[in-house]
Amino acid sequence: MWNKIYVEEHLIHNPRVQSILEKLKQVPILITSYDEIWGKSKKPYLHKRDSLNLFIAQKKGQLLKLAPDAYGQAGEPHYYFIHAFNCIYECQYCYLQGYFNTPDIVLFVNHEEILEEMQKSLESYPNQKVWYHAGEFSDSLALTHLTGELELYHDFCKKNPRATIELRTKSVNIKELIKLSPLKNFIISFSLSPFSMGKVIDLKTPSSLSRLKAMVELKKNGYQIAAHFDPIIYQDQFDEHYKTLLQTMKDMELTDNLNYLSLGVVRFTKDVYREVERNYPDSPIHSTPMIKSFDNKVRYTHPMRMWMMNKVKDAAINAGVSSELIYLCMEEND
Amino acid sequence: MHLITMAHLGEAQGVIEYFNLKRITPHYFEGELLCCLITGEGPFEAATTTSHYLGQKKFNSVINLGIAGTLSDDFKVGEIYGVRSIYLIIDGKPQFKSFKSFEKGADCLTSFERIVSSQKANKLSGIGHLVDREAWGVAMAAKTCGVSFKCFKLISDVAGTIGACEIVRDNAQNGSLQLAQFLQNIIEDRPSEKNHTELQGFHFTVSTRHKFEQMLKKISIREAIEIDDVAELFNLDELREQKILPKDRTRLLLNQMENKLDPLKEKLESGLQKWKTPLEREGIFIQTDSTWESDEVKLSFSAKTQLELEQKIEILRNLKFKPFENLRNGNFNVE
Repeated sequence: MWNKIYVEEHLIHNPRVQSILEKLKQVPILITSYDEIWGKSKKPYLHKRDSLNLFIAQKKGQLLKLAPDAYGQAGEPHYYFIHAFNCIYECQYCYLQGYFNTPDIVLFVNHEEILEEMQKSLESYPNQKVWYHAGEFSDSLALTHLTGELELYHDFCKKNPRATIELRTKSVNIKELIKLSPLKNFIISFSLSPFSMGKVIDLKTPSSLSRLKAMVELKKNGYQIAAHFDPIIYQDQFDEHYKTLLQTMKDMELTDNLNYLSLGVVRFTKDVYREVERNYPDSPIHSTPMIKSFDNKVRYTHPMRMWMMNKVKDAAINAGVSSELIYLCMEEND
Repeated sequence: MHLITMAHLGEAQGVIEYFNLKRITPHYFEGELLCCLITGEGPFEAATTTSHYLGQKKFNSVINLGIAGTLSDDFKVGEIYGVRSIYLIIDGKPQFKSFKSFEKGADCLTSFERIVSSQKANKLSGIGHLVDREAWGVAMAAKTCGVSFKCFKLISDVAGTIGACEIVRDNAQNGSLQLAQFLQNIIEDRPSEKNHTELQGFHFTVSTRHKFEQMLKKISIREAIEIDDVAELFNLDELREQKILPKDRTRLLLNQMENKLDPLKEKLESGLQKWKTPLEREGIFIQTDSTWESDEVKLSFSAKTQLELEQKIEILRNLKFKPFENLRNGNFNVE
């Protein structure tokens, strides 16, 4: 899977690094710091298909990032914690293709320092629930069988009932989770696409049906689950495709067990849109006209995105998702 | 005319003889199909000499052809590979700017220094598959001058191994001939792409052609059909029968194509027109954002008398924004 593995030399005796290397069975190349190579030159995104490198490193600088109001009640602080850069999957709409200069993956191993930052931030809001999201810069479950950090974050939630961690994923790699006990404030959220669209645009990911099965498995084990229909992409009969997805979720008894369902119509920054055009010129994403919108992001027209969002929202309510649990993501809420 | 760039005269000898090139200067050779430039070793040397010749004469493409050392077992000595991306390495470290030659192939590192130790080669092996001394400079010059760029490398040795330079020197003659024969194959003319705007009875300007071609592509994706088959989805004969100018016929065709791609376009346009018409009949004009992004509505009218002014203000007093808001919010099931 990995073309080359680079490890920061000061970490080579770190037990967590040793454990990862043992599982990978590949001789690493030692470097002083991951950023002496990673992202130094503009490596085209699709090179990840045949020359994806792995960097194991210590995250310096910002370990937590304050996020805008997202899911849940407005006013509750939301943070992203940064434990990795880049992703093994290849979703055609992924913003990572225009975010970093390279698709190479970095796994940060200084989780204790990240958790310290989380603890500090939690204490700065003494009377509030604080959200911590993983999965902003990488899938939060896909490589957990290698990295083994889940237990630390789980412990953090156990000790801090005011903190809620959301692990956002497209992975069905739930083995490590099942070993832990479920917690009310430890939520696993799955990004889902309609079955037919998912096959075309969510490349190298488990199918939406497999993700639903993983959700059922987690639910059976007492886990809190959530779903994201984001990005919603236009195709003929898109609403019927979402109804089919939601009906399947209902049949699997998922729709009335969601913590929340977030909805977002596809949108890109200008740079990411250019990358998507370059990397996936035949993608269905390009078959519907888009414009530069109110925030300079490239989106469908306002009527189109409101029409699509409402169609999917109605379908979700009809399938049994409570309307109070449906959140419209990154869209002016009018 | 192609400009072939090669680092050394020894590598280029085969190309010069094979294509019967005439020596113009000690480093520049011309023929009917192509010219060959000996750039010298090193990215800066390659960039400056290539830029100089691109400024002297018009070339359709620049092809960098030459030898490289391999950093990967997947790229074998003695084989020629198309290069995918080219990176620059200074002091063993990658630099930001990279160039693309092909969608697939080997990634080449142009290094300022020769890679003679296995430790250095190992460190670079995660960044690229091959190492050379000039491709990045040639790519930089070609891209700056807006000339198409391609790069092919014959693998001469394993980078970082002892004696690599001797291997290269000993095999120079064979390699040179191999490169020349390879070049013959790649510069053969290819059939030109079909021009889809050659439609009888239609006239395309530069901008309408661009729009037409973009929509052809989008519709082919949406309908999952070939671009060549998209025109069959529209009744071109019916458009041809209309007694209108060819450019107006093109406008109608583009409009039909837009309607096919945008499921709401017709509904929005007719809804907006329905909202505007009663006011327009009274001489009051409404202008809205054509992209629907802004909710701002501009109203304009003129009045010649106090009475006319008051009548129009009265009409405006009764104007309802709700139909416009419903359209803008994608609510089509309400009146």
